[in-house]
Amino acid sequence: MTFKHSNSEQQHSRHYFNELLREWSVHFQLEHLSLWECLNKQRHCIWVVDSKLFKKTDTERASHFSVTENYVVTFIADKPEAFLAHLRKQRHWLPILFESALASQQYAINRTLWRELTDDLVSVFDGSFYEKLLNILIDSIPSADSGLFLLYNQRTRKLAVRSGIGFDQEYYQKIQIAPTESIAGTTFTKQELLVFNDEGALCKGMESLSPDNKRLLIQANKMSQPPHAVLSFPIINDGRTLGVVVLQGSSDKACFPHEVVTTMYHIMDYVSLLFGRYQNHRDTQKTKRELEITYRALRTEHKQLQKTLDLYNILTTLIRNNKGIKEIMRAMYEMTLTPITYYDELLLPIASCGTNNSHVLPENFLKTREARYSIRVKKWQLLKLDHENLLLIIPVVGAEKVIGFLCAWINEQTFNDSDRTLLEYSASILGLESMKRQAIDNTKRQLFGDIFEQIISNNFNETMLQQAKNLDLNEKDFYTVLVCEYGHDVSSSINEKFASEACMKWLEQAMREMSIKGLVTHRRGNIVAFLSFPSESDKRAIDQKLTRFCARMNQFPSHIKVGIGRLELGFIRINQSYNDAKQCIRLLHKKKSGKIYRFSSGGIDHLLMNHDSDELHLFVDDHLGLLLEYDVQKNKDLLHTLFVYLENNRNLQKTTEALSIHHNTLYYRISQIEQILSVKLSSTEDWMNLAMAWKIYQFLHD
Amino acid sequence: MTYSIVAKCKETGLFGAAVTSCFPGIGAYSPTIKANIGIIASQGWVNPALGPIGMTYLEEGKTANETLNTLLMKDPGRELRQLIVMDHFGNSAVYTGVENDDAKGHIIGDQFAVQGNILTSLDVLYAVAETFENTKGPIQERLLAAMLAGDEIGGDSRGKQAAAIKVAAEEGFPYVDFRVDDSPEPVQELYSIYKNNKHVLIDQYYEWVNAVKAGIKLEDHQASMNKERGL
Repeated sequence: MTFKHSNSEQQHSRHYFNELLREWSVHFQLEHLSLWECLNKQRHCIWVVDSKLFKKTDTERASHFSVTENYVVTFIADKPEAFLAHLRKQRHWLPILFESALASQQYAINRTLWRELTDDLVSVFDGSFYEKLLNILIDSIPSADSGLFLLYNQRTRKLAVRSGIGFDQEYYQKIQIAPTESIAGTTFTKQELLVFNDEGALCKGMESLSPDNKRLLIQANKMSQPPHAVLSFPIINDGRTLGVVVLQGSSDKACFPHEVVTTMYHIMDYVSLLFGRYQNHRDTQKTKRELEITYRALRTEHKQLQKTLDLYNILTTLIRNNKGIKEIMRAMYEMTLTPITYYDELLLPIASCGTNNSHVLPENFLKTREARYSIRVKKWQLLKLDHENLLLIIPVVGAEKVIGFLCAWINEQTFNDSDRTLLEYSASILGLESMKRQAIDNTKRQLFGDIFEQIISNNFNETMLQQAKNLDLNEKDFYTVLVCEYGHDVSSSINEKFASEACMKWLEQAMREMSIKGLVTHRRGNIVAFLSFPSESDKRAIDQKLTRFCARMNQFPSHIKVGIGRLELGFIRINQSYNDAKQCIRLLHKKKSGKIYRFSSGGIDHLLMNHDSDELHLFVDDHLGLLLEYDVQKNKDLLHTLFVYLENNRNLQKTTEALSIHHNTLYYRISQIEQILSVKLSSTEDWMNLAMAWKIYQFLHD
Repeated sequence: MTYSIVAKCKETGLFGAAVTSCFPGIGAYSPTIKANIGIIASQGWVNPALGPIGMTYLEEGKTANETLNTLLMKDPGRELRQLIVMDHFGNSAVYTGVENDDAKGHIIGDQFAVQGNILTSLDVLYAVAETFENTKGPIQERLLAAMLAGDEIGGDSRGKQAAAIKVAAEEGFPYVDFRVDDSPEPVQELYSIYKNNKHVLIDQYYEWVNAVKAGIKLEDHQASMNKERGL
């Protein structure tokens, strides 16, 4: 047998003994020479001078010499007496020599093992732990040439091979050893280190190995022969066996002597400790990973919860302080950083935040499947705008119906999906706020309608005046009345039932935008609005403001007719302005063109309106009758020439250009007109009469 | 589609779910379970794709709420569905779309959630939840007991047809995975199937997994176990 280690002390002792034994062997012509340890009545071969010569069967004819209580030198020789005599002669110093050499040997093994376990294994926390441990043990322990690390699986209640040196993984990974089964199982159950240096004991120890495991073990074994010595020890942590390490020696002389066993008793606890540390580290790492995941999840949930609570608190405060829809929208935007617009049911924007020109509703929005579905189920929907942008449509629900839409322009990649719940919640708040405002507006309109009826009927009293004051209608302010007649095709995309509401909202919005105080209501199918201006205002400034207001009205996307009465000073004169406005509407109907008519800029039309139609016809007949007859008889169009001439205020060049005639032709026609009507167009009076007749003719024929 | 329950076992960490419906082969559509990851259970007008998609979000580490919100954002038919997402921690997020037929609703409990629609009454959900909470034993048996309790109350108002139970333990190795695709009493049949067959693999699940991984037959194991027990 030889030591595998090249450690200097081992080398030294081995060399010394080998040399000594060899010298003896040669000198005394010994057939076999070895040193045996007697331990627990078993003999373990520690050194043999020539393994080729050693045969266990020879031990019967071998001679023995006890060096100490534990060590025996055995030898076979033709004439053993000479050698025995030699040994006897040396008996005083041989025990000292052996003990010293063996102690040195033991020290070397221990030191190597402890150092390597400490240096190489302490810092191993990956799966290589098992293999490294086996390698260290096999490299350090004499005789050991292969080994297995078995781990106990609590679920299967079996020991499974985690790593093997000198074994084929393909086979050893299939080995599943039950507790109490074979050497490993017994080691596991008894929690004891077991050593088998004797073939018989080894066979007995492995007797309980199941046929499958035996087969697999044989197949897995890469060594040239079955083990001759086996040492196994348990890995124990906190009183519980976690696994078993099995070391094997396959050579004929393999043996785990007393010193090795003693060492392993000590090492066993240290290996258990290292394994416990390794497992703890892995458990700690796993727990750390778990904690990281938990922390991340907790953080995410906390952030969202905090956002929700913040928004809830902000919205509650805003509503309590009556801050209005714009502030609610601002809070929503600041919380979600998403461009949003709140549209009413007519798609008129009520408030926006974070939007720009690109944030507009797609054409025929209300006809899209998503918008229709959203209205039907009163739940949010997503409308795809392009490959990465979406329109989040959240219906704002009032009393049992959709009263608007909260629209958010979101990017599919960057939008935090959980923010949708915030917007959805906010939409509910918008719905409540809108309903509240709608209720206030409706009450105001109702009240205003009542007051208006009383004004029309000149029924002024203290209560009514107080109510008017409550509605911010100051008794001494300037007032003008606007009457609006609306068509049904307000917008191609809006149902006609919304037409009236659309007009009213649009009017209210225009008044708000231009800072014009007033109230809007319904009266007999029309919309009526009071526009009021402070009594101290400059009338010219009011006129300019009304002119701008009319221009704004012209933008209204609908077939409407708007009549605006004269500006009256004092609340009680509203009635007159209302009558003016109604007259304006009648004029618009008569003219069949135009959208807005202001009484104050209506010229003589409103005078003509008040005249008897027959009288007007007579006036036209008196001044233009002959020319009309002439045109009919001669199939001419001198009346048109006269009108163009009047319209261009006797400007010859403009008239000829308008009529596309030569100026001589115009001279001729004017002369004919003067002749037929017996007038002189150079006469101011005749000119005035003809101009008046032309105006009335237009008024009557518009 | 009727009612389902999803749960995480507080002791073993196993995820499990059971479902029953008046719809053939319901188990093919829902639930989707992954060991150590979570559960997605979709019903109503089922969108089976939500399962695997949602599972990828859960695997990324998203919470149940995040996953549910993202799934809802990507599903135009969300109002037709009922959806439970249970995450790694056993927390559930549930959505009941408004277009599901009554009686409908959901209950979120401690490490479990129940959802149902077209129920005879919401008492079904309460019975399922209470039974699950009050039953001891392995998660699959608690789920089955809960399903039986719901079935007893009335279950699906349209009738009964199919049921399924799934419990995931090791990825790739089905633990409890039984389906009744068409039966007049699907929940009871599901329970019978479990009871009669659990000894085959469920009772020795880990031995089986080990045997499969090691490349040996489970019978060898059984024999050695018997030997070990002196049988």
